Amino acid sequence: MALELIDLSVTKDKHALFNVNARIEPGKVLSVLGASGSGKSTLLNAITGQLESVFTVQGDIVLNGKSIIEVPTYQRRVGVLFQDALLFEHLTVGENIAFGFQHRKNAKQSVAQLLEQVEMQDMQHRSVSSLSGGQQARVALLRTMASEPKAILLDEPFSKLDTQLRAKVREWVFSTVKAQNIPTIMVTHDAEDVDAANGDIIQL
Amino acid sequence: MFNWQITIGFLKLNALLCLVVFASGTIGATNEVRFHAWGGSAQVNQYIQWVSQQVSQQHGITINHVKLADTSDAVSRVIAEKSAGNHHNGSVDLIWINGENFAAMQSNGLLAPSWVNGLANFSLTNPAENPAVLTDFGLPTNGQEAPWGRAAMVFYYNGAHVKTPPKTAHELMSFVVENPGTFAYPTPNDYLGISFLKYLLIALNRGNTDGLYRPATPELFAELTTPLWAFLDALHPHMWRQGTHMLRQASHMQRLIDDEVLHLGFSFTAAEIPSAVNRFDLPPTIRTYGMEDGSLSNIHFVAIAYNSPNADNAKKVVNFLLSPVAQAYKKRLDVWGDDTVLDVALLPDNDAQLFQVEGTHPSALPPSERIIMFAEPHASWTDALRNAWFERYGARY
Amino acid sequence: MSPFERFSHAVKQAMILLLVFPVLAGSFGVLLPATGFFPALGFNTLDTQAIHSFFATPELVSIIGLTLFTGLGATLFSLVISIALVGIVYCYRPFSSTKRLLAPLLVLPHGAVALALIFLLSPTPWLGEWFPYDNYGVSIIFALVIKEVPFLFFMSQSVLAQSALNKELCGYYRSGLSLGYTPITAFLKLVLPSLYQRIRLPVFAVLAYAISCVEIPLVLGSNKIPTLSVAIVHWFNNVDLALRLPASVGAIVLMLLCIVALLLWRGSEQIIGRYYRWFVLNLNRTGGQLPLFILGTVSLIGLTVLILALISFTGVLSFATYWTSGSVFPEGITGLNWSVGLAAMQTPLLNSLILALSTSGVAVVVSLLALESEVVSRFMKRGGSSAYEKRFTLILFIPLLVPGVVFLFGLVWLQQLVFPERLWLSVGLSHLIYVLPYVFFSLADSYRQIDPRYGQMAQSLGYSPFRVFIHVKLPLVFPSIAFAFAMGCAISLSQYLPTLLSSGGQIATVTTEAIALAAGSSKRLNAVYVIVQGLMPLVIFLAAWAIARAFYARKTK
Repeated sequence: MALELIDLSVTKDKHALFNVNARIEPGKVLSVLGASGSGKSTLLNAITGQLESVFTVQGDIVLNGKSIIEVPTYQRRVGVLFQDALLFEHLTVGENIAFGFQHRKNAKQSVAQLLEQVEMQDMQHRSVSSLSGGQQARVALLRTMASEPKAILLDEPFSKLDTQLRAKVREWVFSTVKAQNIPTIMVTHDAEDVDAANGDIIQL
Repeated sequence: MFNWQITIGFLKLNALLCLVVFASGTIGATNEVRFHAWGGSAQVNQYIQWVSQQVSQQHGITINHVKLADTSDAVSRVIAEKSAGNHHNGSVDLIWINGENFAAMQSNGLLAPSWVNGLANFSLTNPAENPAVLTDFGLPTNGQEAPWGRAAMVFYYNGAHVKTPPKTAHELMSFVVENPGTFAYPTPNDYLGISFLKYLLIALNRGNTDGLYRPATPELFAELTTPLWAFLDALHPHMWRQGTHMLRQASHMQRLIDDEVLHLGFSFTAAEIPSAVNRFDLPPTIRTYGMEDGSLSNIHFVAIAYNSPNADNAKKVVNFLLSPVAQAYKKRLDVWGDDTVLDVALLPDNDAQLFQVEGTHPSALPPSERIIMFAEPHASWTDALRNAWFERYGARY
Repeated sequence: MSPFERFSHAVKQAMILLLVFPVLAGSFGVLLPATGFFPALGFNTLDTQAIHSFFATPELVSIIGLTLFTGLGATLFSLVISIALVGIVYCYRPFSSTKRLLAPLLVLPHGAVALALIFLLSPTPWLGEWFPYDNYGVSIIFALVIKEVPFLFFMSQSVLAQSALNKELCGYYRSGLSLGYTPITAFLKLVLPSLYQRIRLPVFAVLAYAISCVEIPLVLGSNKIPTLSVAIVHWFNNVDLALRLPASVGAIVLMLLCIVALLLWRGSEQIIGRYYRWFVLNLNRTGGQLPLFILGTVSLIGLTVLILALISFTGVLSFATYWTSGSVFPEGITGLNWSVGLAAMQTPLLNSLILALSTSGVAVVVSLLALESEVVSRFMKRGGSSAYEKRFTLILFIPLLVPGVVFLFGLVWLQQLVFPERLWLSVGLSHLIYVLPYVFFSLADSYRQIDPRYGQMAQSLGYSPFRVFIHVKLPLVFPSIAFAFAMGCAISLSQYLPTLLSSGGQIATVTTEAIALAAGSSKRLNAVYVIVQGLMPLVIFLAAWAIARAFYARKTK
């Protein structure tokens, strides 16, 4: 269940932004560092398949032995977490999480169980705008996990949380991906994040 | 997610609606007769609805009353269809039509050819004794339009502001001079406006009116219209707004009387005055009367468009319009009050009884009042008069 | 590209076609008669006779002069007053709650407003020379300003409500205040330039409408010197059928007048722009504060009083028995005119609603798909998006910039040729041409502002672009959708000429009936229709507002 980036390069105006080779084992976190503008978000976009047409991508991305570079975004099963939780305001907490489910089985029950794991068990019917930053981050994580992704990308997901919360949420995320054996790539500025990830590092 | 069910449901309903609307079929030859008639009077509209109910019961025909702001809208429509080559499936079946629109449609081949004589009830109008049912503003109808109702020009005034109304054309002049800004007449584009001019023409040429029943030669025209122009030149500065804003339709005149801006007006339908009072559209102090020097009498008609796909049904409707029942109902004050074109003397007793007048109204023309009627001048005078008026007094809008 | 993306691109192309083609075809249908070709009346050769007779019209110079004067004048006054109103609402908190007061004027059709004004103001003696029917265009300008000020005001408000722009302008404004400028001055110097840039197209639409409007000059204007559009309508309707040819020439001249007016306006923008730059930089801390404040407050009070007076007067009139002009109240109350009116209105009301709901529904769907297509293209192209957007916006405005009189007659001719029997389709299409631009603009800003990361997130969760559209994007803009739908309905409900001409009068709506009755003599019945015409869109807006609230309210616990 590994994620491989094989000679993955993105070019804009005949100028290559980066060329990456990496293999991320299940449950491991790859940290990607780089100055602003070096193409960190572009790398993530390349992996999710949402590059703008000014960019051309070469190389290959292999997930669980299958190449996904030609596969449309919504079929790649690569989850994303952004800086902002981006929860849907017209849905409750529980509905947000259920939104990620692949199949509609026992939605309520599974949601309750998932919320228990992050100590938010009574909040299933709350509206998302009443949640704190840390709670929102947790719900976003649950939603992404609910879709059973084969890989996860993190785009500086903790940078908007204060230091205390940061550590806790980070811990949840990392332990979750480890438990589920999901290869993860994290883009970050923060040295602590890199330390906690305890994995390979790529510098763009 | 409930909201989505509702939303998707609404979208589906909307899509269905659109499908129905946009894919809906034709209105071609059905049992629907499209009657294009001026829609400015609620009374007429209600009468036409009654007619629709009657013919629906008797013949299974429905009438779609297309309410016009102006009869020329229907003329436009037929022209557009003719120019696009639509000669058999037009959207206009029956038109309520008056002099000039009739002349235009007839000369441009927009009307169905002679059909009126074939109607059973047409003989009830006694055309031999009443040639007025065969001419419209002096033009022979050629059987292309059927008479519907009859009118004579009457005047009305607001008794709260006017004690002695003028009874002749000359008295009218004195009245207007003494009461400036309280009188106005519509431009000759409106049939009441041109009729007012004809009335003045006849009244001012008293004793010398033979020429009006002959074609209008330039000399005759100049001779007979001299007193008319002199009269109008003297009249205009004392009219409403000093004659700088001419009314476009007679209905506007009635509104201004209700506003108590104008105090004297005139109309072709004597009964519409008490009708209006009953509807509170005119104050109860209104009184109706006829001019002593005579009134113009006028018949209004209905015609069938040349490209109507429902000509047969339309003829059945017209036949009903000419029936004693329909004509009597139309004459009732509480319905429309439009006089009949039938010769009541010819009718059998039980039919004639339908036309008995019941009750009076203080604002109505007193039943004892005898109106002196004179006939329409020769057709050529209408156009000549109108053009000359516009040349003197303003552009033709 | 997924099939959905291809579909939305196709819809966008269809939308452009829908907006441009009928207008072009219709205008062409006017070109032929203008050059003398009208076989149905026996004119079978191309010649310039019609052109000669048009230019031989007496008082033509006055007519054209009046048209330009009322068009430019009304637009100028409306703009200045709207700016004053926007200014005081922006700068002074207490005023901001008055934002919705002007809404009734916005949704009432032009003809109804003109009628209501006549009811209210015509018997007044001291207005005599100036209102109504004056020869200088004062009444026309007055009525147009009353209708267009709320329009420009609401357009400005929706521009200012965009969050990105709002933050930026708020920042400028606050800096201005802290530098010592009085509130209105700061508004004029720092906020207005950006605002004006963004409402230029609506202003052009107002200008084009003011030049080509028919209903208002018809009801209120002078009969001696009409505006060009009124003259054209009269010629088309005239008993002398040959006048249709110079009428077509007139329609083309009207079109040219619109262009001239737009060019004049643009020229003035340059000149005023120079002066304005000087004004912005002249270090005057209080420039414009007092005059604009007074203008804004007086206009606000004046308009509010006028709206209240119009509504209450028309309302009372519809129930009145006899009412002499001297007294404040009528002699009595009756439901007669309401029962007559409502009985007659059943079918037209149904028709109005069917047309409004279906055309607005189609417009909303088409606009959403076109916007989705645009967002996707923009995402793909990244650069050059704003030029593309500007071109597209211009195309959208074409039906609003070309006078209705010009292309509607030609459109009818085309419809007769192509599908003479599909009445509802014809009317629906002619409504759609007018509804679509407004609906699109009501949706555009909020849709374009959707954070693209929501879509990315949902796609990463496995939702295809179509499902993202339905489950993520639509809910995010739901309030805008509700509002745009209501707006579309209001536009459709107020259409007169399109309904009349496209259906040959066979489909009656409340608006067409109202104009037909306005030709009659019952003020009270007219008042009933005016009120119904105002209530219909109001009810729809209220429903839209309630639904939008319910959509979110359920979630807040």
